[in-house]
Amino acid sequence: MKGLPPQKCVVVLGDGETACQLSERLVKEGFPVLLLFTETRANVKIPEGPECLRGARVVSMTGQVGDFTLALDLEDERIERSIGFAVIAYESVREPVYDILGEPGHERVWTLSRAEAAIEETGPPPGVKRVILLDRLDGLNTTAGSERLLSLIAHLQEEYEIACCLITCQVKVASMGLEMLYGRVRDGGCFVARTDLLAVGLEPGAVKVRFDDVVLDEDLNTSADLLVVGESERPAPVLQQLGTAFGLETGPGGYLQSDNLLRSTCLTNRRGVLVANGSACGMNAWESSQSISAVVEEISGLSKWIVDQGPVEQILYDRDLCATCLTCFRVCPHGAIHFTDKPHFFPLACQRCGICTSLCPGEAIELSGAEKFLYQSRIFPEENGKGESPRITGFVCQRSADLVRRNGHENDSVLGGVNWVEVPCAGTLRTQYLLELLGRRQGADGVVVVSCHRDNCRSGDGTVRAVDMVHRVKGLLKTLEMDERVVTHIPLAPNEGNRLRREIALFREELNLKS
Amino acid sequence: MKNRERILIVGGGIAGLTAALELARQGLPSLLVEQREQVGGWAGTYTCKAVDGRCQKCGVCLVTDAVKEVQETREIEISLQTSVLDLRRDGGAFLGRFKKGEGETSGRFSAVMLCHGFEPFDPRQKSNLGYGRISNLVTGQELEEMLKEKGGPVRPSDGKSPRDLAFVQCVGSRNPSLGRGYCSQVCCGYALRMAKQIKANHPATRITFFYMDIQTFGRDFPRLFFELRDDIYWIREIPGDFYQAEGERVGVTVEDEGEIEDLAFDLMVLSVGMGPSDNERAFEEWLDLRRGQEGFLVSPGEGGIFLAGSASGPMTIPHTIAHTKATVSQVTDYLEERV
Repeated sequence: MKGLPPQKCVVVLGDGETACQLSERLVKEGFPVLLLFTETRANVKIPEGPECLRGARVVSMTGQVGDFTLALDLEDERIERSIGFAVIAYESVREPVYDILGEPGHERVWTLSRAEAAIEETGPPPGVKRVILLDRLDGLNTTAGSERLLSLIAHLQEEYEIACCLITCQVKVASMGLEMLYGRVRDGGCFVARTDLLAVGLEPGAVKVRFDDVVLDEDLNTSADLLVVGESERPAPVLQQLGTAFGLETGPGGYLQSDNLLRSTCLTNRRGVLVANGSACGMNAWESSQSISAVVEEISGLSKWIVDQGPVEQILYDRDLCATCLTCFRVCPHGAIHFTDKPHFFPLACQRCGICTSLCPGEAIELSGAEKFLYQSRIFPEENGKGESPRITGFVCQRSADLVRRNGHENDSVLGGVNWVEVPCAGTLRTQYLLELLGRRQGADGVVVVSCHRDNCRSGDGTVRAVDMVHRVKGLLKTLEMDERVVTHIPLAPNEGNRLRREIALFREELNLKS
Repeated sequence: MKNRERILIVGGGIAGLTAALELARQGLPSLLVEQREQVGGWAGTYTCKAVDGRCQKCGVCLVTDAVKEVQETREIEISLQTSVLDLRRDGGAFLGRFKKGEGETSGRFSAVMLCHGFEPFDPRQKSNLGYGRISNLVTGQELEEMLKEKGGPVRPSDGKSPRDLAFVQCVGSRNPSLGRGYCSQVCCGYALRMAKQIKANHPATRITFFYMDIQTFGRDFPRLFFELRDDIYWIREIPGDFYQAEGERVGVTVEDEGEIEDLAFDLMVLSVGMGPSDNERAFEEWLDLRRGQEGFLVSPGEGGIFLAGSASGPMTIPHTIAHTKATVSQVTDYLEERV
């Protein structure tokens, strides 16, 4: 893409409100939008601004932010489009929290969605005077589900004077205005029962419920004309295929965002591929609205970043050393490597974790600014005539480097005695660095590898790779009947200066090194 | 944007820092004013809650990341130990006067982002809690700092590790009689995450949890909740009266499963909630802002004044980041329409 302006077109994939709202907002911001719908949900009004393609299936997306190629199958035909950014914006799927209630088609048992729709369209069925609403009882009910149940109750009580009883385990109110709504519902006469045990009896014309109220500590019976079963959310089934086509990590439950706060709010492991609302995780109403704005904000920020960044090469590659083994392609967490007869590295996709360089068996890849020869001089400062041979060498990733820079100066008795070597990410470390270090210096030397905590690494896998590497080195030392304690791994957050000091002091003690 | 007037950001907590960074990404320069000697806000004093090298998603480290990034960003000017003396509309812009140390400064701004955050509930306001009189009764925030500094829980009275400790939830939350008829949204998360860490590092410590309803937080809530389910003694009641028990323990009287019981703990933690910041009154008056039912200021969302983060209501750190990013997109829309 050298010299060419970045492609600004955004592809939005979805099946409902989120995708429509996002497309409209992006069009307003001046981004051309290609809206890909599979099957749309009922009542979705498709906006007029964006170009719309129905029923297209995504095969793959290669390239980098601002310059992606999207391959689609549309009516047995393969088409390719140039795309700048992609947003996956499917709604999550709602399903009843309980299937213990016999056949779901029972005339007196409705799902929350059915109740919401019926009441919006026609009002409650005639003759319904009492309604029992049932939430999940194992404590894992959600704020989003609770919000919908409480809104429905308020509506039933206030518009139709229907008596309501909410059966739940924990009343979830952790969202703006929800405690107020809960108060309003109770003031309106709703009986709220907290229980984890329940028996339901279905009779023609009535629902009978028996439960053990944990707050009143009593066995209670109640009956109603209608039972509304709450719903929980799970990812849309199509996300699995999309995750593979886009090369995305998955999070808890199969959503397309890993549970890593460094990805908040809408980021994925691939720069320029974003997730909104029910494609990122289950969300309540407040969270969904923030999520849509965050995507618009991110795309606008990224499009400026691409221009400022320019094509900077991050990776140095030596074809003669490359065995074309595909390892780099396989291990890159950011989809930054494309493989034909040799690897191609996308500089705007690369996030400089260096995992490809550490795992390349031929050492054919180097990260610019973090080349092997630079490490050599930092690991062995004495060979350049700088200082004495250090007793402990510490590798520390960029994110925590500030901690040792601030605290690691020479007059600090604990951290100052360590030769700190900064690496872009702990995942960049090669086994050879540690072995060489231990081999060349006999005796009491120790090696510390400081990485981020698991699930809190910018590259997702950096910590896991570092842990694996330390294990490998320890295993080798054991095989050679050497002391494996000389190598240790310290997972650390950038705000844990005190703990780093304690851990290093412990390590010294274990190695019997004086500080 | 023709106009190079800066945007004023009030407050250097996670909301203010995120606001400054997002604005800079959009090419918009800002002045961030902070009352204290350093940026980072409340969350900057909290502890990492990772367990066995695994992140528990509390978000506290994101503040450290943001502080570092802000300091490296050219478009952002930070003014520490600075308080706002006056802030008014002036045509389509805003005029601010500030006190920095002994001196006074002033400036003109295209828009204002109020990121002044929250005030933790002061448990002295509820005298039956006995906070301040009873030793070894601390707030959740004090426990945060204790874990950060010392690496584990200790009794303030003798510096020893507690054999048993209890968390009391909803202190200054979900209580309309205190004018706090809302859930603070963060307390179940911080208390259970700290409980998990204490349990992992000091398995012999017995932990009790006094609560009304456990709120869902974060995506791995199910995992955390199930892992803690059998490790914690749960009591579904918020105790009212606290007293000093023998051995400088903290005593409470509770009704557990129909029986009146006196319980005592080596250390008790009050999970205090979030309330509106004291700074709000001045902004409310200067900028003619409205308060919502819950007592927090309401973001007008137009006219150049924007609220981000817990200044507008209780919020977790990840929620604050999301809210601030969403708010910055409103700010850029406003500035584009203004030109």
